[in-house]
Amino acid sequence: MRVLTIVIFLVILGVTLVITYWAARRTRTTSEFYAAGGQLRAAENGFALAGDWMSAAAFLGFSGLAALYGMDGSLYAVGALVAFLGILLLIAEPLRNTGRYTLADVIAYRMQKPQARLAALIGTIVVNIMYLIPQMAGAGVLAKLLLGIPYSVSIVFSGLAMVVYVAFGGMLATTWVQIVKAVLLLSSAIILLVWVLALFGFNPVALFQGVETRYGPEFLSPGNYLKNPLDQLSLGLSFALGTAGLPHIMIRFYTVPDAKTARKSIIWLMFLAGAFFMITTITGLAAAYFVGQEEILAADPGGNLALPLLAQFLGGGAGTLGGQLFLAFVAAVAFATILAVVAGLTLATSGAVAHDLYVNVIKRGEVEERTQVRVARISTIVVGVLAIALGLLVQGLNVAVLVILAIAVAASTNFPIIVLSLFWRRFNTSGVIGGVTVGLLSSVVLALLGPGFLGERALFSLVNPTVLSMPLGFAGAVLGTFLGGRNRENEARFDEVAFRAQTGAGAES
Amino acid sequence: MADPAKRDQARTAPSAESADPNVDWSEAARQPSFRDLISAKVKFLVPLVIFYLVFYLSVTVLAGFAPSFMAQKAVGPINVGYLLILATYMMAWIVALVYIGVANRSFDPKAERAIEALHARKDDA
Repeated sequence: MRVLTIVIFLVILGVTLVITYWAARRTRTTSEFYAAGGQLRAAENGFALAGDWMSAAAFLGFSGLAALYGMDGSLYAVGALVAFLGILLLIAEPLRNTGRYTLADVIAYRMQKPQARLAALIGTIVVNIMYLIPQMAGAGVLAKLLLGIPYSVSIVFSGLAMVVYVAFGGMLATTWVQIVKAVLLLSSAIILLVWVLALFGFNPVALFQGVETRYGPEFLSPGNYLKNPLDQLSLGLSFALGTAGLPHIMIRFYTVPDAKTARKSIIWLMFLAGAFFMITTITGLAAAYFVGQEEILAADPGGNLALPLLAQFLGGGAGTLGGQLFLAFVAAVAFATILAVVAGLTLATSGAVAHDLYVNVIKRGEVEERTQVRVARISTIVVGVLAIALGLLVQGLNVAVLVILAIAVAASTNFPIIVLSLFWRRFNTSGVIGGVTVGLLSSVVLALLGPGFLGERALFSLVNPTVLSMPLGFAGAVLGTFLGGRNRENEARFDEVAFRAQTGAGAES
Repeated sequence: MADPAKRDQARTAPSAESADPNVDWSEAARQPSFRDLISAKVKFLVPLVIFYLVFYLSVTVLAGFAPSFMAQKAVGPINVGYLLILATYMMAWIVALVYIGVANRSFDPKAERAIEALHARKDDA
């Protein structure tokens, strides 16, 4: 089994390194490094977006949740699709029309003040690091459980791989690694789906019947995972609006030539990833039915191995050749998934460090093109080293809760300032600072006081604080705006931002 | 992959530094073609955003506060909750396709007219 997984994984790794070599020769300018020259097609960006969004948390996590907690897992998964409606309808096209490389670009374009960019880039870095840690830890845990490779070895390996992809191949390599991974992920999900359905005579109702007979109707009712009723709404809100504040997703819209292509790429994403999320309900229930919750829990208390175990069962069970082959394939795809997502996060973070902090805040834009690319590559290495160090530090801790925190911070910190920059005339630099400060503090503090971190001793009853911290983030932004006073010049600038954002004037390629 | 020749052209997306001082943007934002685009967008997008948010958040609120309603059997062993989740998938896909249609047919031509009017104004000046 180990040898087989390693062989399949090495093949995937080889393909991604060839991609990186090919992309590195086409990555010379800053625009090529951060945005693949802005020349991707809708389908390419759509597959890459789907790759970014179908993280290991989705591939392994959603199936695991559906297997252990029934309906709450499926509700979680559909939220990840609805997340993109707000981005499609309101955010992606204006973002494409007013930004270049990073999320903070949009805010800086509106405010023309380095302080606004500085506040915005802090939100980006915090969200990315919180998202990065559980991905790194996931790679470590998975390698240990499935291959017996020590945690620290796989952390260092993942960190090296992502630095190589990003530092040499920039956005072009990151994109194609995502595309390869999305295709692998979707194919394995479809194979598992068809196989499961075939066992039930292509009648999903029979699957539900089987699960109900085995676990009782309570299993298919809501409330098994999220005990606090408000948590359901809070999770829904953070997905529906917080996704627009995830920098590694949003920078993908800079890789296409215009708003129309950005729009089309979201449609690709919504059908690819949406179908995939729907499949996780079926594969999750099938894992509960065939593998059994006891065995899933025994393999990993978080349920993350439900899907690999289902694959093993379908292939013929533990110890058989088919079972080993299936398990090896799914495990290798899961590794590839983690590598691709950490590469996207690394690129987004080094963009915030190099483009936002170094070039625009510290040097006020006075940096030569060649130097900019070099700085971007150096910050990629710095981010990689940091990710390895953090991954090693959190060994043994349950970091899955950080994913919830990351998206809550995105919803409470990044989302309000993006929306207000694009749609509110009076919004100003002190509003950006107020929004970031209040949104960041309230989401982090409330999450740290909640059951996700304190368990039984929680002082705040919600795992996901978005339902409270997002309104607080907006309130901080509005309060900051009023405290900053009116600025005619800034308000007149809103006309330009609105005109360009909504029409794409000046952003034609 | 786009052809390499095209890739070499630097994209002309505006940067934070490229505010065009030669255009009176307040006037541009007042021109009828732009107002027309904005009012079309507001009229279509505001109800659509409210619809999808209310739809999806209602499902999460029902799951939180009306679990027994969600657990009622609807189709054999499948309960109301799972059907609502399935409906949410359908809703998301339909809303996305409806938006694409309207954006292509109505918003894009209106945005083009607004840009043309802007250029015409620039040439006059």
